[in-house]
Amino acid sequence: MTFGDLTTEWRARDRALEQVIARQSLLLRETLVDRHLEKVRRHREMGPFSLVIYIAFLAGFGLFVASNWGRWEFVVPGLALLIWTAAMGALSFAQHDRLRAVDFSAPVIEIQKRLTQLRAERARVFQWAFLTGQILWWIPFVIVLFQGLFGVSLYEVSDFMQRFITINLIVGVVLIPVLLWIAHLAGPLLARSSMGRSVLDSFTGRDLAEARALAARLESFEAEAA
Amino acid sequence: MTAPAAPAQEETEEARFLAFLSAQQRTLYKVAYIYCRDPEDRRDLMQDMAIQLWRAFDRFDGRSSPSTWTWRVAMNVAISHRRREGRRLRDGLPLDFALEVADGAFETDSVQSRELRALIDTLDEMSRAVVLLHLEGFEHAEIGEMLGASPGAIATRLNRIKTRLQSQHAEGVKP
Repeated sequence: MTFGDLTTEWRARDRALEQVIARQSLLLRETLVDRHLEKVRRHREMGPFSLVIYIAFLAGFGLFVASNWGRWEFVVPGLALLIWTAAMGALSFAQHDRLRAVDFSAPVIEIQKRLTQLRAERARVFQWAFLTGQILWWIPFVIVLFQGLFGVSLYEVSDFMQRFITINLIVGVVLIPVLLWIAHLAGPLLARSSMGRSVLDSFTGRDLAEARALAARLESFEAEAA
Repeated sequence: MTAPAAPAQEETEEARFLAFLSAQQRTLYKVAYIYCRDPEDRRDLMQDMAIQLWRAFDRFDGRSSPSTWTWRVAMNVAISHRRREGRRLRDGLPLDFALEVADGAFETDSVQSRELRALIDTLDEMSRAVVLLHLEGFEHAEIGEMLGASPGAIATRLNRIKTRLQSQHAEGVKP
């Protein structure tokens, strides 16, 4: 078996493919344009929905901080959530923009290096968003939510509530290294579900490892000429 | 005040793209075939390629041929594509020629077909690109230009792949 045999076989298959696609295209072409113009248009637009949600959260936290200024037990969690949301949103939009700016028609190695770099950045952001978010979007968020929407200060509900808040905050901080450790241990089990695998990959930095591995393969490809 | 005529112009670009896409479906299928074994992943990848082609379409300046441009975009998408089970682009772009019909025409049960699939499965992303473009009849220099490598690097990589094919053939391929 040589490459010549494979090439001959490939060309025969290509001709068969050309024939079936040509037959179907003749039938479909007339209806394609009308049916798909709307879909085509949609795929070049930015998602306005996520932008609206993002601005709504920023405005909400901003208003909360401003209206509670001086009451530091509310300002601190509100400000932390405001900064977290602003930073994560800005990073996410910046990454999205950079990804959209990538010219996929440039030479493969150049583009893959750029994409690998972007992927590594995204993985790092996701990892830290998850680790810090699990603290902020629990107790601080609940404090802000109750005070902001219902005017209820969770600090004053009971003595137990104060202890509950303190313990949960401490647990949240301690959870960062513990979560990293558990994720590495339970990796194979979680990886059985596709969603679990996807979250796990970003969370444990496996995305980073994959990105680095691809970068290494690209480098070795380039080095072969030398 | 009359309404601007921009929408008509926009529709023309979209219609031009759809005609372009229709002409390039075979290329997209072949790239997807090389990079994805599973038909659903293949469909998913083809949708990703079509979307990326559309996003880049207004940057196409005609310096390279439409075919070369499509090969590059398609391979860049394929190499960076990650298989995402459960994620299907249900409202994807119009690549709705029946993939199973294309599979039926393209996939054969010949020894060569099995050997090619077995070979592809052992190759990394860049080697798959080299094999695909070589099977398509591109010269080393053209492959190098598309991938961003020297013709020497392409020749070296192809020789390694050929050696691997020979040893794989000697060992015998399991169907």
